[in-house]
Amino acid sequence: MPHLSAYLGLSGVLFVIGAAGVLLRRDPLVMVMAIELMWNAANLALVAAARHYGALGGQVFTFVVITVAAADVAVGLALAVLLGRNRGHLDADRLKWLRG
Amino acid sequence: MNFGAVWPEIVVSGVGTLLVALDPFVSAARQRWFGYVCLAGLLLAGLLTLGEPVGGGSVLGGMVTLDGFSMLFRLIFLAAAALVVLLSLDFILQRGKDLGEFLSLLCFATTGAMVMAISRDVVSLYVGLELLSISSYVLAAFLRDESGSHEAGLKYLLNGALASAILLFGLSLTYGLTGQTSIPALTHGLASALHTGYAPVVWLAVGMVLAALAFKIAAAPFHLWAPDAYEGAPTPVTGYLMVVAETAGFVALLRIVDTGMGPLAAHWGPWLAGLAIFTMTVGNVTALWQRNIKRMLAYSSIAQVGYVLVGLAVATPGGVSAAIFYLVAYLFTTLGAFAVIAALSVRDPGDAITDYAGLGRRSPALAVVLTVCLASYVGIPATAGFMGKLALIGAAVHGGMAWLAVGIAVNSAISIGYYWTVARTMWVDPAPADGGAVAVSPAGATSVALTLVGVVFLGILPQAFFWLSHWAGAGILR
Repeated sequence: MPHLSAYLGLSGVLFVIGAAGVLLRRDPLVMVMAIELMWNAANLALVAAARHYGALGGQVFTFVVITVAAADVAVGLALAVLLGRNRGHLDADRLKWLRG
Repeated sequence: MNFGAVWPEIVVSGVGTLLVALDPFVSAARQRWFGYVCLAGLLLAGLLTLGEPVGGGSVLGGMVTLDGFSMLFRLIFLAAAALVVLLSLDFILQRGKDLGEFLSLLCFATTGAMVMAISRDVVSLYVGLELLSISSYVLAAFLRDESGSHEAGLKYLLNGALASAILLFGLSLTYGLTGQTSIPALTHGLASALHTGYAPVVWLAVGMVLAALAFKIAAAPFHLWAPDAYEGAPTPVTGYLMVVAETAGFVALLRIVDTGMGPLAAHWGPWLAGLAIFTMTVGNVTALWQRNIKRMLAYSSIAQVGYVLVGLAVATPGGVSAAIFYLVAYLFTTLGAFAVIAALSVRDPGDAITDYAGLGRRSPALAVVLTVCLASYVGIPATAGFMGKLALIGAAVHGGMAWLAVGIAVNSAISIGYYWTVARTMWVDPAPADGGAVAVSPAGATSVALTLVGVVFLGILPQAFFWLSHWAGAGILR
């Protein structure tokens, strides 16, 4: 079985890919997906660490995170659909009603 | 398992569930009594909180602690929620929206904030934070046919979820380093991991947790989402987010920085001090150019966050209690200002500062209250803000960071510029020809009066609250 640091390294890579997705893509749907990837990177680290310590705390935390992420995505998709219906486009850069 | 400790949270979330279940069966025009049900539930939760023993012990398997800090902040969140219910009733009903849905979201968000206040474990802290955040995204987008509101909700969600992901990754790294989720155990584990060759990972984890919480409290340079979300959200929700969501962020920060990562305090004091001075300067200087009152108060709230961070940066018992006192003063000042703004925008949705021209003649009572709140933001004597700033300046000087005290004084002087613009517009500029007196409902008037009493009471007789914040701070430092 690979050492804990291998899992933590992989989760770090996933986290960076997700962060790059949030910063580079402008479609709110894709941004939500990229954020999900960042959350799953954390989940991987939690599960690997829980296995390493032989403790259940990290796995319980992961279940909690999965549930929370589902709720977050539901709200995110609802808002993205609302935006698409009202504006006819999905582009975070064209949200110009509010400045900045 | 003993659930007695979390009865207040059970009551508040139960009221939220009840209201959302009743909502489809009552037409929107007849939902006013939902507001009184909600207020009764919040009052009951407050009484239950007061009735609980304050032992500082941990219950529910160590997830929850009942110390002075958790007691005081539960009551703060309940009081803020009750004031927001009062000031939002007419705003929501006038727009023909479902009050039941709105109030249930408010109850769930408040439950989340209360869970954060009592948490002693990062898992429950995280669940509370997400319950608060997800409810807040929906609240910000509540006026879904107004383009600003749903855009504010989407921006708040994207930024908030990003901050949550960063927080979560930081927490997963701390778990990987220590194998602990309990905040006191986790911080001692981190302090010892600092000497084992994993120091860079420790700093990465700590930096991510701090940056994510700085996002949540809208500290500069992590504040860019805040003005947009606060301007676009419905006015009562803006007040709620500024007070409850930011205070909840501070609750997490105080728990983690002062209990949890207590052994590391010496290392991050300078970082928090830099964050404090940068945040207050950016907030105040940017506020000078704003033409919309909600956007101006958004930058003003960023400046207030900078002041509170001074109390955290000095990391002494005096600093913590000064920060807690300032958060209470900020609650009454901000909700006072938003009670007036919400009362004015029940019928007339204009939020430009020029819309306040001649308010002193159209509605002297509202203009007086808004002026007192602006004076409290500046820190004029006999207001809550003055006592709060005095406490923070005293803490900074005693904590050996006198330059932070100078920063607060200079920033307060800068802030006079934009608060004065509003006061001058209200009292000196002529009223528009069509502007008559403003009708205020009993609920709106109650929220205005209660916040005014809070601001003046804290400014004239602050001793009781100084004692309370000291007691709460002692609970967390133990």
